[in-house]
Amino acid sequence: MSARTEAHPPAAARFLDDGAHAAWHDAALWNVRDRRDKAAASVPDWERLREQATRIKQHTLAHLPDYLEQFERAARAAGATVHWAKDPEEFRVLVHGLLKQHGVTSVAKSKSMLTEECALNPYLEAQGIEVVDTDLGERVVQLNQEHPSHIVLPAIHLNKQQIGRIFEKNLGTAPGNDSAEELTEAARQDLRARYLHAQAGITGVNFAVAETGTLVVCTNEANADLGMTVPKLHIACMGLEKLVPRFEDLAVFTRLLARSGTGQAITAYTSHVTGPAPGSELHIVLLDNGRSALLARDRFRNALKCIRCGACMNTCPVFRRSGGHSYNHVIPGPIGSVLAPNVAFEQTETLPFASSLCGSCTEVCPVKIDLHKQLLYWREELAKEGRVPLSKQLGAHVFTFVATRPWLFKLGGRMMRLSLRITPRALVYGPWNAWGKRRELPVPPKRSYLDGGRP
Amino acid sequence: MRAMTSAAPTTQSLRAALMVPCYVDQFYPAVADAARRVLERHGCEVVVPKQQTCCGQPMLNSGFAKETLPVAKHCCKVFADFEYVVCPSGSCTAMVREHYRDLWLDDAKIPRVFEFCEFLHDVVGVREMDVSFPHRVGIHQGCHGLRELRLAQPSESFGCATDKTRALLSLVRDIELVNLDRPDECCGFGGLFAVSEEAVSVGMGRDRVACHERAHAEIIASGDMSCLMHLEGIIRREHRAVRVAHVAQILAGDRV
Amino acid sequence: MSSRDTILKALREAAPGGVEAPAMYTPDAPAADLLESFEFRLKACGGELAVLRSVEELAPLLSARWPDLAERSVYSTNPAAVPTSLPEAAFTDTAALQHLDLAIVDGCECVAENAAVWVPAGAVPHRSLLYLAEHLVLIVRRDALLPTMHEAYARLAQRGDTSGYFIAGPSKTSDIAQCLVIGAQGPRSCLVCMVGDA
Repeated sequence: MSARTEAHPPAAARFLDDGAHAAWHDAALWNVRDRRDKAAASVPDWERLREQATRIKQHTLAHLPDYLEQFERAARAAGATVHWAKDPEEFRVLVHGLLKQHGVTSVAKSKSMLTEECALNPYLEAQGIEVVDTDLGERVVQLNQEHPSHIVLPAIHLNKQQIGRIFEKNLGTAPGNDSAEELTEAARQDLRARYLHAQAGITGVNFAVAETGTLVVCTNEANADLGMTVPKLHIACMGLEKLVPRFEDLAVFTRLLARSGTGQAITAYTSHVTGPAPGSELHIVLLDNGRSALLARDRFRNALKCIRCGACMNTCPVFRRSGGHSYNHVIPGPIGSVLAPNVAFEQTETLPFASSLCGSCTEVCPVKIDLHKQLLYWREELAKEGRVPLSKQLGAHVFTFVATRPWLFKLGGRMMRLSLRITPRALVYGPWNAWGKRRELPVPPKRSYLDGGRP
Repeated sequence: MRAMTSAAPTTQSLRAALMVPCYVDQFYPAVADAARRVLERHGCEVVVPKQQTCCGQPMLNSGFAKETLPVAKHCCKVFADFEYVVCPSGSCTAMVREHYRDLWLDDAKIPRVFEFCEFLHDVVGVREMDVSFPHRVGIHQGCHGLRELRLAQPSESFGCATDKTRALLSLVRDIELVNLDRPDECCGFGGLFAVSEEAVSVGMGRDRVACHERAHAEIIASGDMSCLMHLEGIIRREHRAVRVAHVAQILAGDRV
Repeated sequence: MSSRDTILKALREAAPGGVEAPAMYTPDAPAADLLESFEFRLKACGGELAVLRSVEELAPLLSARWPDLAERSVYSTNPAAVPTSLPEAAFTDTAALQHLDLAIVDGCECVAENAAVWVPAGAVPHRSLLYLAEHLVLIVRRDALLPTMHEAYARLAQRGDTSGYFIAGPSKTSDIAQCLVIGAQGPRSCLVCMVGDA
């Protein structure tokens, strides 16, 4: 395991330090949530559609090994080669092997959270292979040498001016040019030349169909399409959970995905790949990396239904105000906080607590993952393993003792109120009082209600 | 069990136990009292069991399920004999109704708790209200009441749940209910979240206050005093003009 | 044991089994007129619609739109209406296709709820030309207009057409500070020509 990553609260506080930028980030994502609401409202049977999606996924997960074997057979029959990787290391070696075997020195890679999960880019670069991220947002963060802060909007943490400076440095755009049109055009010219230069395209997979061996890749920019049609080698990387049983099931998911994610009725390009194009090769790499372990966990299995739309991030009041990087996990936000402890329990212990449990994530989730409940369940797992601060553990025991003894509870309340009244303000509002840093405590009445207190 | 009881003023009286959230008991006795007076005015016989302590939510939300169980059992015992239990908090109500089951408590032993507005709207069937409240009021929906109890239709979901808080407040004379541009965003209280994620919590709270201010609300009203405790803490520290009130206080016709 | 077998073994132990597959979904009937809805959605995603009585109207339409059409590099699946200007060899050479100005391609199913048009992978000599072309014209039949994705996928499944692309409008991005820019990396415009009767 790598070094411990920073906890969520201090990282979030740092993000909020730049108030104006944090407010912009919040407003931009709220706007996406708002567009999602309108797009969902345009489908009269929206809630029924979500129910169908969750049931298809429930069924698929219940029979996942069978469907994977069916998928493998169908994909092979269509001419694809299917590979399996247990963990990121095996995945990286496998992909590198394929590239090496084909003499590839340059790769055009479209958005794939799975390759982020496996840290594929740095590995390939260390082996002397150039990797160009082709999704515009991912290209921006790649040029800025950082990670995506959102799974659908990778550069949402950067404003136009910042992106202008990144392009000035890397693509030679004019100093001070922060026009979205002109910056996009500069990226277009640069990237289109790179597809021709690349000998392989690596893509993620949005959905895979067991009965036909079909892969579905969704983008708005056509970058994945260029990456998988211009070079003669296409490597598609997918988590085991991407399957749906039948080709027709795709209707349910393509209706939900873009509406939930960006508020579009559908992505501009929804591409179906069944076997390689004539004269080309298609390799499909299936990755486990903790997914089979998650499938075994009753209370958390549902997280495998995720279709990576990002809706839970856009609606999450904590995500909007703390930014994706504050989660220090490849997938941030509510879904990231329930996926993270499954693979990195020791490093992600503040994530299940990075939520007010408002439950909006659960409501927007197109596949009805009980996200806010899972966050709560992970808190239980962490507490069970003693991975919450000692003060909290001690506090819980004391509270249980007191709250099961009404007389003691009443006495404790009296003492607490009395001490708040008589202690000098400077002592009450010392640095130990996180509540009181930027908030007043309530004014304690002399008597509690049960103790006869009245207005 | 010793209890404070009051005679109901009408004949068709419903007997209800008042479940007083622990922080309301300690810091906002006026809210519990207002809830009791409103229930009585609408024909209920109100009992306030004195052995009640806490529903256990702060502990469960911190992950201490095992430690929560004895507290939950105590709560079940205190309210076992009542056909109706009424609680002026959506959050505590949701804890008992939605989360006690996760603690493997027997369904039959879980008290039948109603949120205050829900009880008045659905069980008592209040459709008239003889009080006046000549103020511009913004409604703050507590998240657990909203999404776990469906006290209103969450803005991101589709259905036709009646906004019970709004329905009751609309009955009040001279009140003006304002519309918020973000109708039901979380205020950022979240129990211990308010402390463990202080920066985000305060950021959310400030935004929530600002949202009500943009709608020119004089009063932020909610069925959850915990949200209001947090918002009031920000309002007082920043010397803002907007005030907070529990829905029960408005329905009781109290000055706030 | 191979990774494949290790993974499958772990999954067999973990998968709970049992849950039945839900029945095929029947969507609610759409409220709006299909053509109206298709046009509205197409405009919303940056595309344009032309309704033509016959394919003969295509050439004048395109000439009016691109007065220098004759000098441009054009690929057309409908040579009767507009001829292809590229040499045959260009279709296997992506470097040549990179300078393709206009691709005119026959589409199949059109979906009213989202303005998506199905283009089978086999409709073009090289798949990349759909994305390398600066502008895309899709020719579809009016009677191929369907209400939702469910009807479209049902038809595709029925005829086993599982390689192809749903294209809804031109290439676009909002990745720079959420500003919508049309013409991200693929076609800068997408004109759907709907021909014939319903």
